[in-house]
Amino acid sequence: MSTLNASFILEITKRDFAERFAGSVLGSLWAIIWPIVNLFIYIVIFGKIMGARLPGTSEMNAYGIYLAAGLIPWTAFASTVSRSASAFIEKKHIITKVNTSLPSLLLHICLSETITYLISMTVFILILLVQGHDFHRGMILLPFLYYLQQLFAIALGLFAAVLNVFIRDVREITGVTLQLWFWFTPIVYVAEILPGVVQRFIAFNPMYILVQSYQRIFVFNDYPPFHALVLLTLLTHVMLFFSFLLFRVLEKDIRDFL
Amino acid sequence: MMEIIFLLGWTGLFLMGLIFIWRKLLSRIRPYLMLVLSLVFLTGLFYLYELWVAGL
Repeated sequence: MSTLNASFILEITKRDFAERFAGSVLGSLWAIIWPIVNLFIYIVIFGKIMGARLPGTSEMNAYGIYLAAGLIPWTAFASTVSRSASAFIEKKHIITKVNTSLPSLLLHICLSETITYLISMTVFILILLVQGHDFHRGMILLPFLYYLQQLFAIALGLFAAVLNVFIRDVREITGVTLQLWFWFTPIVYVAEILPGVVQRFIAFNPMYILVQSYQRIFVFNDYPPFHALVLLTLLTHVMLFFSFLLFRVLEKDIRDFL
Repeated sequence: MMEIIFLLGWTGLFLMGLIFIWRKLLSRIRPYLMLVLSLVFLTGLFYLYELWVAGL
């Protein structure tokens, strides 16, 4: 059994980030341009030009802020899960040559997505500052919400990555599930427009708890739903425990199979 | 201000626990202990913070 190696994780994270923009003239600047363009679409196109309004608020940009507050964490979560699902297969050239800890391959994806998330969040907060947005004190909970969200993503990603070694369809299933999950999470719409039965069903959606936390802090100037977050923390750690247990049981087979 | 002190203190305790587990304990049980520590950290943080907010 190999142990986690911090310098190895940092090295493959750096390489991952460099490979993403390899050959382009602007290089890593694209990592900043993309979030700016996306936020421009959410806030200016949806909020101002299309005039989309959020029910119950009078603020002009409320819908744009609502969209950005949900999409930034969702993108980090979905990218971590989908990229993790094929991590062992895509990095098999490393796994078969270097005696590395397999979970570190997932940690580098999480770290790489964290950099993108931090850039997007910084640009988002700067735009809100320029607009004179009234920030809620719950903002200081953002790092902890992100930590919980990424733990949840790693729990699912590790489970999918282990299964994907033996059943290659798992990668496609993960993509389809994430697509459906996105539309079952109130990110581009508000939960109140849904029928009562669906609203009760959506209350059990773990990602809704997280996205709702961000939306409450940024849009509704409120604290996140703490009780639901405690339950989600329990669920996340139980899932992470079972994913890790499954990985430990199958670790030798994974290495042989690759 | 007190909120920030609470969050920094709680996170500091968590990080000290993580460093202790990483340096002093066997690698076989390390991930499980880290998982337990992380669970206590986050549930404690959200639970205590809610009590704090309710008390304001």
